[in-house]
Amino acid sequence: MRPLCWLLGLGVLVAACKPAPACDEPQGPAGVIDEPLMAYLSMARSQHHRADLAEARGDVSAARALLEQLVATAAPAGFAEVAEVRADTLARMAQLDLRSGDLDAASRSAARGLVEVPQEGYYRGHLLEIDGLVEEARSKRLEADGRLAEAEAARQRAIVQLEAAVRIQQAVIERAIQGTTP
Amino acid sequence: MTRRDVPPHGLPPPGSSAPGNDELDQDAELSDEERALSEELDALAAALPRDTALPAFDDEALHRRAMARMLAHENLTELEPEPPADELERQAAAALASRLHEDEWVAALRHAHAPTALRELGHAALLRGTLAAWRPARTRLWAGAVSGLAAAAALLLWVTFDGPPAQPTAADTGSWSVSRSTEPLVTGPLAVVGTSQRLDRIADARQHDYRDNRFRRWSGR
Repeated sequence: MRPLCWLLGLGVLVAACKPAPACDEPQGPAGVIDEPLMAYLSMARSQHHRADLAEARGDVSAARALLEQLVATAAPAGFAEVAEVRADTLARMAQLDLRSGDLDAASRSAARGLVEVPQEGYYRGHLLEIDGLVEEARSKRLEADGRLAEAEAARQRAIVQLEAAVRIQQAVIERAIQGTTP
Repeated sequence: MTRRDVPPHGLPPPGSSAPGNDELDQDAELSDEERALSEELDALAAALPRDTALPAFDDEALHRRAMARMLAHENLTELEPEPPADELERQAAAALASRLHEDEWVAALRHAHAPTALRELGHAALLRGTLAAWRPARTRLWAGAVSGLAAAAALLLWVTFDGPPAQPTAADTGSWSVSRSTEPLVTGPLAVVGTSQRLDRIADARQHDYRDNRFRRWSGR
């Protein structure tokens, strides 16, 4: 029996040395919906609802901090959903910045969001819309300060961004009506 | 000495012949109490089994006194202490102890009454002997053959198993739910307002896709 024991022991050793198969989840490179993506979506959903609760009690800075935390979290790469969620989150951060009067922070958030979604679509149009609103607010503030030239420049930027938003969203609506997806 | 060798009480000690006139004279000299005792002893001797050994006394008077004392005292502890054992008694006791120690029935009774723990080596030896007797060489041969086949089958499975059968590849994602824009979920006639509401819809929709992918993978489609 001793040689057989050695044989079985050798088999166990060989089996232990075999590299474990990769995660049995459908993986990302092929773009298949997988567990990391779902985890990210779940986390993003939870974080946005936490921000809702903070906003409901009037704590805008806490809501923005929660969203910043989501954006700063490492996300699985290669998914359109992730980029769009990040862009939408940055758009909401820009809106909160706008409500709190921090126009520079709002512009930075919108710019970060536009990097996430370079292709024309709802999310890019939404970010352009927010950026246009920020520039509109800036124009009014500069005009109130008597800085009329800077106010006019901000007003022109607002018009450009808002027109771009309108154009993009019109295309989105037409695609939706025609039943085609981007 | 057996009962055949022992004369009934009142008879002369061994070596003597049939009772003579002297003994009759002695009986005549007995008191009523001693006569009654003698009759009682004779009845007792007659009732004993034939092979029962009875002590023999050379001295009839000593014999009578000993019997009288034994019958008179129910509690033998009241008797005088026995004298120290002589050499013959010690040798007989040692021989008896030796026989009791070596006798397997006595050992079995002793172990049954007060078993002791098995010594480890003794236990192992017992197990080896029992297992060797229980598993003949042919059984061991079969066990070895079956184990070898099992090891070979495991090795074959290990060599041929490459992971889940339905793992999607970049060139084969047609039947799988893949990543795509979420715009159709948040625009159009069923558009929602608010980032959280959009995320609710996105997460719910992709959860359906993810579950479908898992079912596809589990079913091997």
